[in-house]
Amino acid sequence: MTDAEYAWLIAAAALAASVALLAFALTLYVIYRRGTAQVARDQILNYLKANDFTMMSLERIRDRINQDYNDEFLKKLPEYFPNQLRRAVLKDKDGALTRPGLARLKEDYVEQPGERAAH
Amino acid sequence: MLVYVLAALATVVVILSVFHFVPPRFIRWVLCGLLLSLLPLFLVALSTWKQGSEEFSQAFLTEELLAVGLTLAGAAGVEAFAAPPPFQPIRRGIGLTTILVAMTCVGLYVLFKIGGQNLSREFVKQIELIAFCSAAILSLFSVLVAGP
Repeated sequence: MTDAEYAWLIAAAALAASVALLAFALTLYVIYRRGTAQVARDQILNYLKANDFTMMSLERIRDRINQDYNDEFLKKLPEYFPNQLRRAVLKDKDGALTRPGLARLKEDYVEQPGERAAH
Repeated sequence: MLVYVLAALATVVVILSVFHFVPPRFIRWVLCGLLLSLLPLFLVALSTWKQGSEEFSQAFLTEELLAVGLTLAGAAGVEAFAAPPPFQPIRRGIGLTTILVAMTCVGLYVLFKIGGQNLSREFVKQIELIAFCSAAILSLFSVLVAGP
């Protein structure tokens, strides 16, 4: 192998390694975020099922499950798991629909007025 | 060098397994896609090597190996590129990169084959190996990010 060929090989290997490292970092980010979202989903669904609730507000999720879950993260969960969670709006103390929250889906679920919700 | 690459791939799988984040589709991809594709090449290279005509690595690094890598990269790249949200920008980025790497490798390889008669055999083999490794590793990442 000539010196020029060797230099080309080194350059090609370096370029390939750089692209692979970048892709590896992005993949780890996606895997980490997906794993975190799965844990949050399981915690929320378990809480709802254990208390026979259908939905709960974002504040209550922070209060009872994990105070590090911010609104942006929680509102993304129905996008990650559209067949298990959906966005919901819960009533406040005055009866107005102002409190953002999450609700679980059931196979034969039909939303009923006055259904039990965790505020 | 091939051993190092396979060891690196195995290390990635082990690291991801430790975090319990290896999706079943990734395991299916490794078993059904990568191993089944490489098995016939491995057997052919083994028989050639036993005949003593050339070294095992030289017999293994063939155009078919490149074809396997580029096929895997093309399929996985398109899957990642077309994947739905969430993480759609990242999925599209990795998918597109994988497709581009596969196409670039094909282009480079054709250029070397057509206009590179003056290149040494060892250089062409090493380029084949780099192309295969890039395609295989990027298709691995594409499979990991493409779905649950």
